[in-house]
Amino acid sequence: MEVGALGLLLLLFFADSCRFSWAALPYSLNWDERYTLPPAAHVAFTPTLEPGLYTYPSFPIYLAAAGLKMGSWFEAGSVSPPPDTRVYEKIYDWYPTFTSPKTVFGAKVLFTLIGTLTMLWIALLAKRFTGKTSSQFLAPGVLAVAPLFLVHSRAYVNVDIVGACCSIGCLCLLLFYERRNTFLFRSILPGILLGLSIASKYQLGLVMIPCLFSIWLYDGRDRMKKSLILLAVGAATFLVTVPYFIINNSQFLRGIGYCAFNYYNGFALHGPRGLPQLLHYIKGLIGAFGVGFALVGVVGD
Amino acid sequence: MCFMREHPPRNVLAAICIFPIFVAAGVDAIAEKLRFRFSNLVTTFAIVLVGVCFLNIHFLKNFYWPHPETRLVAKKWLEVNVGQGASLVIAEELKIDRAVDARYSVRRMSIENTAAIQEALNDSKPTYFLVPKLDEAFATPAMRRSLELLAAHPGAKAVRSFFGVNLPARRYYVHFTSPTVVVIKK
Repeated sequence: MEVGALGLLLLLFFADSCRFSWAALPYSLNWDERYTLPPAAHVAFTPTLEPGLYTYPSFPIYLAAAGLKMGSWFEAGSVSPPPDTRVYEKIYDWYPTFTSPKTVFGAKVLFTLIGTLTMLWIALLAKRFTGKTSSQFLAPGVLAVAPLFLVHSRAYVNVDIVGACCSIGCLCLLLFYERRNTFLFRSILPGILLGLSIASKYQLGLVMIPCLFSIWLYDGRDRMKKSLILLAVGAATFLVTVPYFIINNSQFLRGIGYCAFNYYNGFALHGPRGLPQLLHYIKGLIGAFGVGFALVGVVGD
Repeated sequence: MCFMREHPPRNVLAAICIFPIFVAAGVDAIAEKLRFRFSNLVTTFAIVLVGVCFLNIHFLKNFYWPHPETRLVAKKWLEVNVGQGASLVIAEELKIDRAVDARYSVRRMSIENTAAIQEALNDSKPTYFLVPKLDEAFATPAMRRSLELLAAHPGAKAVRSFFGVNLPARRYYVHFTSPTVVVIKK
């Protein structure tokens, strides 16, 4: 009953997100989509697999490329349509107006699904934390009114929702299997999700901290070995999902350097470093949930 | 166009997504404290109601019941009201779908290109101009000049505007329903 109700809630959210995405096509709803869809179209519809952009890691771009490919089958009406390089031009050159809306919709559906999956992780974590069934519905319900989440889960194809989904999925895994002190649940599976998180957004490398904590605080055996395997699996996953960073390392380093410079300087658009930056994030949190829910959240914290 | 005036704290999206878990825990803790007076269900319902009161429902409406994209509405209006083959000048900034090119005689030009706008105005043929309603924060002097030229032209009149919901964009970072299309007939 509970599972069915949660499933229905998530299904409704997913269906509504798809409707929202479809309604705006062929127009893009966010300028930042230029960092994901055109490079994804480059990967999906030209012979190269190199996204050519390293300000963001490649994993979300490959996911978007897979979505575009599925969308192009939907548009062509068959799984193996004749090769059409114009699809790439239509997305790349004509951005932010997509003249292949069904192709772009494929990517949007995939990213909407990722947003819905994030909601599922939150529902599971909330139930785990409070032990109450009501939390399983309340937490995703509150998330569903947060504009920041809504923008990222339904308005455009972005790297942030993929990073959030992988990193929260990793926390979910650690909490749900906290008593399984095996290599699989301490090192391999968290390592894969850690690698995918970093391959979605570089700064999500911070997920490494709870992963290592779960080994060093809750596991008595083979701590060093498990930690090293965790890091190795994470690195291998990053290598598989961002393969071109080895070949095109100068561009990759430039991308990393740009991100580091941006964050070191307080991310120019967020205001100067230090207190103003902190205030910006607090304001963002209140803006996301409203003063009422923000205060209740502080009580819960 | 989706203008961003205030950058969202999206680099902490994962942390923001986790916050509702604390909200659920907070509701649980408050309900526990008030258990001697009210049932859990009543307290939860009351807290949720108060929380919802602080949300900007007007803004949320744009995510669940969005206003139709104004460019799609404008395109439909053209199909109904403007005959095939009519002369259309479209501001490039609107990025209107090239599908309209098949039905009309379309010229695309930047709204900043005052000389081109002037030239189109001097054309003897009756022409429809599709231009954006300027956002004061982003309008350049050249854009303003072009629109003033259109407004000052003796034969020109705005026949239809497709207004979106005017969100307080300074507070919220995504201006969903922009651009607002204005059709001017010369």
